[in-house]
Amino acid sequence: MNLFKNKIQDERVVHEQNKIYREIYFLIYTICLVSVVYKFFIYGFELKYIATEIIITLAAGIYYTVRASQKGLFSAEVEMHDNKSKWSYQTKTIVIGVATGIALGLFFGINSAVNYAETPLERVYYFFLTFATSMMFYIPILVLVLVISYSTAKHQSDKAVEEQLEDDES
Amino acid sequence: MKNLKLKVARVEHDLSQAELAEKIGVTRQTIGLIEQGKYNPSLQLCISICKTLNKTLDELFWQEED
Repeated sequence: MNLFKNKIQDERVVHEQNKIYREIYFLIYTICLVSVVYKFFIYGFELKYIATEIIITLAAGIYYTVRASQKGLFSAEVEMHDNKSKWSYQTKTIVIGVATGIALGLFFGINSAVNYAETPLERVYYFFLTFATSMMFYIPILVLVLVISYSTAKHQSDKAVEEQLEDDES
Repeated sequence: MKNLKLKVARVEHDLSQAELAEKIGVTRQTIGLIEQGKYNPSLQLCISICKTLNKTLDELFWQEED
């Protein structure tokens, strides 16, 4: 009996399995998020307690970006997005960086006002001081990191697409 | 195996890969890979391509045995 005789895979089964893997991916993200929120309320905002969740989230994101770039899928995602959306993928990337910077500034501002200030005037002062400082720090860094990551991934992905289609003269 | 029938039908309609891709709602890469025989499209995608190019499935996707 030849075990390798039938090379055709059941596409329906493979497709359904991939759908389940995708659901598992979201499930893991949700568990990480719930765990971070839970630990935040139990231990406060301490990075050491949520390091595992951050590593899982970051590693999965980085892995996906690298593999999607290698296979040229990132260019396809950008193309599909830009065909449908009013805002280009690159503009959205910058907006996400700025919005995340503002959100972090708000978070640290409120945290500082609530935990360290004693009088109402101090609260306002601490809030605006921390909010402005955090924004000045986080917005440029986040925008820079996201734009560099986007450009690198897009460049590598475009190269992969060209290699895949290189013997095709269109 | 390259799908020359698809390529010919696309050129007959004076469409580039990118233009055909946009009409169907897929990427240029996908059309390019189908034409090169490096990607097997789903039946649903084959039908979309056929409808866009006014061809039948046989005309575009049936490969004669050598």
